[in-house]
Formats: sequence, structure tokens, C-alpha cells
Amino acid sequence: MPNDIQSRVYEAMFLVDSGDAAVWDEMIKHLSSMLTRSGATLIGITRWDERKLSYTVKGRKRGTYVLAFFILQSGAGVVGIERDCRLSEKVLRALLLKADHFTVAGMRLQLGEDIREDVAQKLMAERGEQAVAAAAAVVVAKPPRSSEAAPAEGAAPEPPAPYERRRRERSDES
Amino acid sequence: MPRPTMKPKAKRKKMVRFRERAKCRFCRENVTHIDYKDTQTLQKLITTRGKMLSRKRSGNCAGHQRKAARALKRARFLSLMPYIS
Repeated sequence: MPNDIQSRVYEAMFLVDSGDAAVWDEMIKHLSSMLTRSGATLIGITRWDERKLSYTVKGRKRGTYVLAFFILQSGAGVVGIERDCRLSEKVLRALLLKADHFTVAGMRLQLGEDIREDVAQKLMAERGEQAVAAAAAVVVAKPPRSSEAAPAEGAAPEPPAPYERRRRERSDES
Repeated sequence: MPRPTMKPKAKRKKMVRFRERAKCRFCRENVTHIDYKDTQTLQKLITTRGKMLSRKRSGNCAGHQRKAARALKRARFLSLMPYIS
């Protein structure tokens, strides 16, 4: 076998019971141990949201979402984590995805202060990401809208989009 | 008796209008990935019953429609979005 075993970044979203999540330290310990047992290096784990569920899951109408980013040798360990999630009584649902498209800055935006700086710095060095460039990166899912972005002082205003220009022309004609 | 000559009809100026092809909402923003966590965006792509809009109604390009469908299915699995309501 060639030495092409490369580490990959994964994203995990856990749906847990809000009552169990009230004891936050214990919940974090439980989920972290579940990940590290399979050889994962945790980048960060955070409480993403607590909300009403769209449909009842195991009799629960509300749930807490826990988001984690971790590094794992590709392929290995994912099965183990999924099995642990199924066996765990605290985890109602779990979704594991590859997250190679996320920059460290993107992860930082999602994790906030819960990111582990030492792991993040190491990952940035491995990927060759620039700290400045990474800070300017945006969340992939929510690109800034042109109307929201405030133009810099002294900068020329951007020309309107073609459809916007046409709409203005039509209104001028009438 | 000379026949009265008819005035030639003024030709109506034909307006040539062209419609620029509308781009997909994600193409306009150069979105490469649609996140399943972004429920605000996904909410715009479903009907009141929770069914996904067709390409014709959403205006998405084929690639982004596929990505949106995948994101929606992931969101449904995590109970972020309804399967049907």
C-alpha cells in the first residue's frame, strides 16, 4: 500500500436531548470521548443551537444540536463513531460528513471560542492557509449580499446588476 | 378622376426587447457549497407543505438544485426541516 493515508477533516452534528444537554460538561465529555476513542483529533465542539424540532424524535419535541469538527485518518474510525452514536442513549441523531471544503476561518466562525487553537494552527500550517486570507474568508453557506456589504469610504459605487439596470430603465420610460 | 392616394402607414417601430437569462440564485452569489445548517436559505426552496420546489419554480441551475436537494435531505434527517407538514 502506498503512503497515501491522509488525514481528513470531518464535521459531526449531534442531536441530543435538551435535558441531558443541561449538564453541559458531562455531555461534552461523553461526545468527545466517543470521538477520540476512534482516534479523532478534536478541532472544536460547541453547542450549535437549542430549538423546537420539525418532527418528534424519540418522543422529544425540543432538542439541542452539538456541532464538532475533528481530524481523522480517512475512512478509519468513522464506522466506529457511527456505531457509538447508535449505541449511545444520549444521542438522538448524528450526522457525520467530510468537511474538507471548510477553511479554518470557516470553522472558527461556526465554533466561535470553542475552537482549539493549537489544533487549528497546526491545520492551517499543514494546509498552507494564510491567517489574513483565512480571516477574510466567508461562511460558504451565507455569502454576503451586495446590499448588506457597506462600501468602503472613497470607493466608487458598484455598477448595478444587469437585471437591476433594466428595471430602472423601464421605470424611467414609464 | 384621380384616385385618392392613400397615405402610407407609418411603420410601427418594433421594439426589440431582450431578456437577459436569469441566473440561478446560488450562481449569482458564487456559492460552492450549500450547507444543511443554513435553514433560512433552504426554507425558500420548499413549499408550505415542506416539499422541495422544482427547478422551474426555484430557478436553480441543475448543479445547485442537486446540492440543495442533498442539503435539504440532511436537514430533514436532523429534524431541522420537516419531511412534510
